[in-house]
Amino acid sequence: MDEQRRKRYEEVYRRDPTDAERAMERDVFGTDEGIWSYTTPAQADALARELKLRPGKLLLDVGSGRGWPSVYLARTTGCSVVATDVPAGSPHTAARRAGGNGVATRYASLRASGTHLPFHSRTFDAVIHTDVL
Amino acid sequence: MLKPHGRLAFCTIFAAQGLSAADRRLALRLRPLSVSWHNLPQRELLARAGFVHVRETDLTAEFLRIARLMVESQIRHADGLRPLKPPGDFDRDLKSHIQEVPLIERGVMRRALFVAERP
Repeated sequence: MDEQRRKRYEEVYRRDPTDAERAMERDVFGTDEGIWSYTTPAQADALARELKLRPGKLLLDVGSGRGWPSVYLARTTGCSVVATDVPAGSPHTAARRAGGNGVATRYASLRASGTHLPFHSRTFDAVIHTDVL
Repeated sequence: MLKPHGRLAFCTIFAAQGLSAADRRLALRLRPLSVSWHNLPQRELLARAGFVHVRETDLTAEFLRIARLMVESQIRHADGLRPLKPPGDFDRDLKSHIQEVPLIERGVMRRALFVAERP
């Protein structure tokens, strides 16, 4: 991620959605989930089915942004999530959204690049990334 | 990092294979990361990385629907959205999003869900 792009995402991810962004999400998706991508709730549900997410499963979200759709997946499937992203502010905002959705105890977020993830092999049951590349 | 039989799933936007040079240049200008990332189909990349049971679900129709709605909504809420970006960026980005819609309509830009399993 280049420096200009990283700074731009840091500014966005450091704060919660504004009224205008929430209005846009309601226009486009009909939701108030903090969606910041092209991934619709129906597609997030499809991810959950494809990955067989359920309580006890550990999901890694690479490029988690503000926590869409990983917070939603933790809430709707009962799985546990580790969320990573590069821009500063992203882990904090995602964690805050997890708390607001009642999944804080099953949601950990940290700043890490997808090319240098600090995890042991054979850690996760599933990995997602949505519109990151 | 995946356990054996663990699954990877991702949604991504990419330029269609076999584009003309002009379409590829246009797609590259609008979405440089999505287009320049590689020249191989995602399925082939996943297979080369050792994944099995690789499946692709085309999401382009929904991508087009969402892209159109995003443009309409950005125009509707421009006064609230413009100050969130550095001067000039909102209008530049909106112009790109408007130009992107016909590219999706023509099949130049696609979006798909890929699912693959670690052996």
